[in-house]
Amino acid sequence: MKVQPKNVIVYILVIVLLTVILFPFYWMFASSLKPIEEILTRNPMLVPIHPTLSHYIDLINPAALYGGWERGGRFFLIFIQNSLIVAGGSTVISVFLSVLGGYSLARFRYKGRELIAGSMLFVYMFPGVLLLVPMYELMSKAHLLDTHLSLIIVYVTFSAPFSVWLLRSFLETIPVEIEEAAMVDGTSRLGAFFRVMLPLAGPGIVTVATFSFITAWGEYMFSAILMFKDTMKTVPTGLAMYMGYQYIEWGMLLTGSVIAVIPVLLLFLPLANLFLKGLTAGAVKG
Amino acid sequence: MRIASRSLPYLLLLPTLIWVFVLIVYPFLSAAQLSFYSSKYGVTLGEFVGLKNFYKLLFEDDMFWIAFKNSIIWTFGNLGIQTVFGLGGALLLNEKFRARNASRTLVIIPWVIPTVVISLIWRWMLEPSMGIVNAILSWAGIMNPDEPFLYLGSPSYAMLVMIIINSWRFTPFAIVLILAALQTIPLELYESSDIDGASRLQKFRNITFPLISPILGFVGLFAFVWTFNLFDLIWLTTHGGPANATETLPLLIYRRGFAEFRTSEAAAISIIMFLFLVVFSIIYFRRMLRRAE
Repeated sequence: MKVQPKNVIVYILVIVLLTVILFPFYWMFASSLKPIEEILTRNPMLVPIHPTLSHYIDLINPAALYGGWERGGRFFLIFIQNSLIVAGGSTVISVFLSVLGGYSLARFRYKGRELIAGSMLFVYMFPGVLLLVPMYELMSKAHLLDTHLSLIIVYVTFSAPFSVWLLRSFLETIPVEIEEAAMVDGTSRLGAFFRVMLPLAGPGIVTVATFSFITAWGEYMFSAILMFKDTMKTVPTGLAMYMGYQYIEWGMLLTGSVIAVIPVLLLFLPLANLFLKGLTAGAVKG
Repeated sequence: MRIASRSLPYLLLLPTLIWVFVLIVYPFLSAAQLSFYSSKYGVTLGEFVGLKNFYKLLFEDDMFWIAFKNSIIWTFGNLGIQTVFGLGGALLLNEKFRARNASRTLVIIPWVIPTVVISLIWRWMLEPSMGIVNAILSWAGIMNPDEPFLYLGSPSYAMLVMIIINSWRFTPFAIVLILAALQTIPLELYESSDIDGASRLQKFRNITFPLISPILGFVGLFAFVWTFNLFDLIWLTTHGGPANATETLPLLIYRRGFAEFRTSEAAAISIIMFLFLVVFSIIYFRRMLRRAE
């Protein structure tokens, strides 16, 4: 390939774009490895001079309960546990609902089908902040404040409709003949669904699951109004609890951030291509 | 068996529909109801006051209009930046170059990161005395280290800084969607215009833009609704401050509802925002359709 001046410009612009997007994450990571003297300085170095894992150890070590970062050491693992329960629970329910709903919208012809599909997208657009007050009232009446279940219910509400929409566009790409062939061979619709459709829909289901998990893992607003006890907080509200306005323990918070990002990247990066395909297929169609 | 298979598609959708109804439609209606009452702390409905909450907000409450104005600046600022850079980024990543797929994946990362992390990273980078941004600026001689820029602490610049942070986060999403739209354009169109000797700009104006504008319009509406209602990033980063510089309507809902416990007022703000969004969407769709004709 010849090197053309136009190509050089493209490469330079791509590098600039990627630097602007990725540098802040590098900076978070680098800072989390710096000892406190290298953090609290007017002249920060681009790389940690004396890298240390001390923030990580303090954050995870239960013995830090009465020392160091207030109560943070002990609680951080609980935040992670809460987030895993809430994100995991809402992902399972969301996937279940979207497999049923997506299959219905993709495979049957009936009245109101397009209307329902469209309203799924509309619901996804519906701003959660407008439901802040009534959602709190609802959970309070149902005695669900301070429970994992309340957050799972809320997160499914906001991820299931879009998941239905997303999965439908996946399922529509699977030729109906494959399923029919299985049914001709004497398999029931249910059997054909489990043996033929589900395996083929695997990538779509994985995409939907990733979407639901990431949404729930990072959600702050509802967690902030539905969880009161420190031991019930999720990673976002837990970290926010330590973001005071006068004094901030940067080392510990940035380390907490790195840990909060890890599951998201582990899930997202391997699936990114699939995820983007599903997302954009839905959008371009819409 | 026949009846079962006819109702099957509805049965499959039923759980999702019920879920959505119970958790979106019902709460929304109860918010509408609350907005006509005088509920505090949300324990009881209080007494029926008709439109009093709305009247108070619209005609007696300076804070409401400050937040409304901030919301408008916030929304259009974000949309402006994200459209321009989203389009630019998409055109860039649509070029052929090595590591193109990897770049596309990396670009979207800010979008999947938890908001609280985004907020922390930027508060850290923009920290006036220890942040990397001011360190670079004073190293480059642009800023006097004894008079550091305040960014999020400055009443005049906090809104602009917040808009830039949020655009940094969501432009990648715009890039990816616009990129998907670009790839639906058949290459033959460009080839035939090459034969006609069209310039790059002409090709963009006559082929690219008209073909992606329906998608731009659709994404634009989504982005408008989301940005207008965005709560977490602003709340976590500035708490609406300094001096209400970044207090938008969603923050006002939160403050009224969960810090001051004026539940009915918070519900009334939600209803006003909802009506505003409905009216805006209708006007927007009309214009989009008219342009499409």
